[in-house]
Amino acid sequence: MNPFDLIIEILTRLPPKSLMKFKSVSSIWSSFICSKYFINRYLKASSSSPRLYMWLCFDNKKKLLLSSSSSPDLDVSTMSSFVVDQDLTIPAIEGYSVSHVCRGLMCFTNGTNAQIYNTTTRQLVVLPDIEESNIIAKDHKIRYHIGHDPVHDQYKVVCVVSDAKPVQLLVENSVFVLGGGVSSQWRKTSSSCPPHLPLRQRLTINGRMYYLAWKTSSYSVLVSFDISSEETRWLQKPEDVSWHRYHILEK
Amino acid sequence: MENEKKMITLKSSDDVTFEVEEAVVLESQFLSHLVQDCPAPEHKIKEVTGKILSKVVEYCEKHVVVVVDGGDSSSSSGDDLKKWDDKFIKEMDLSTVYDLIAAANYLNIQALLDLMCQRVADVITACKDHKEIRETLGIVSDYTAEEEAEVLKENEWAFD
Repeated sequence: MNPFDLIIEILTRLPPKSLMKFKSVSSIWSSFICSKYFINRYLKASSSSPRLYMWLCFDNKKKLLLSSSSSPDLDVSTMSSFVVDQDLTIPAIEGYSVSHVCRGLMCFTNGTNAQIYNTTTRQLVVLPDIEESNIIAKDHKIRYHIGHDPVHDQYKVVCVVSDAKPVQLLVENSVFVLGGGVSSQWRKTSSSCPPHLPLRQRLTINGRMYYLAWKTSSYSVLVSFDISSEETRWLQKPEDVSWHRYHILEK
Repeated sequence: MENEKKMITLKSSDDVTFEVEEAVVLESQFLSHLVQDCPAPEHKIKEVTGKILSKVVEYCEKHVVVVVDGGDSSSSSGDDLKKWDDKFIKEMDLSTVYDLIAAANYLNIQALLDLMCQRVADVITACKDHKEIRETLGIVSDYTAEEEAEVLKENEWAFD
């Protein structure tokens, strides 16, 4: 290992709080800690100890966002070593609900609004409104999803806007690339996708987002969205299977 | 089975010699290749001083896996070893820790490298603010007063 790797070896062992203090030491260290190379190394090192996030609501008003690191000593029967070691609550979560977490980036939504919260640095990005849309003015549904594009090493927020009318389903995908500065805008994806009505549940595996959707009022499909190429595909399901109640399960 | 243990002499950059069992030397990936490729009784390690090499030898002697007749392969129980590690690093100043990191890296002793890197991380974690980190690690700030105020405001939560 060269000296550079040895420094990374030390810094990846710091908890987020100390890492943020270290950022305040000098601008050289700050840019090093904020570099993509270091961030990826830090993520890799911390992936060996996954975190549990808890979103607690009291009387539908007061909200708490807590996190606990998994401990090798965790005894599930007593939960004795289950310690909440991070209080991630910030005023901005008022009125919002958590849609999901991707590599420590948490997506909050409130109706058509969305914001992304970095649980390590505690930075908050309020996403702008989608301007370019043919269906957004109507009675529509918006689903946000954050994913990582492994090809370009970018974090993208995917927004699926859909509109269900008695005769026709409309759907539009827009993408927002994180880390692009204040001038970043939503961009409509160029690839067209067949009309469908996305359902709420979704998950990401290997750079692809999967979700279930209605193709017609009685026929559902499994949809896959490639976060790198931004292409939408429908996946086959066995013909004789009727999906009445279903869940997408993570391994 | 040979009863007599094979001994190897290690010589530091400042010519301090250490006579150790071969099993101790095998804790280091670098030295185990060296003794296999070059079966001399003495090996000079130009990159490591006597002061640091004595620490390395102390660590490896404690951690060496002694295969006893019953096939039980641990010299100390895990808890005892951890206590010993804690004591080993407790009294050490940071400059010795840095030298040991360089030595463990050169000699390729992963467990010692991990222990020492964690020690530095723990020292940084114990610092209450950025000023204490600067003092501890001897880092000179290049922020202007305005820049520093801004970065502190951004990361305010970390200083609770």
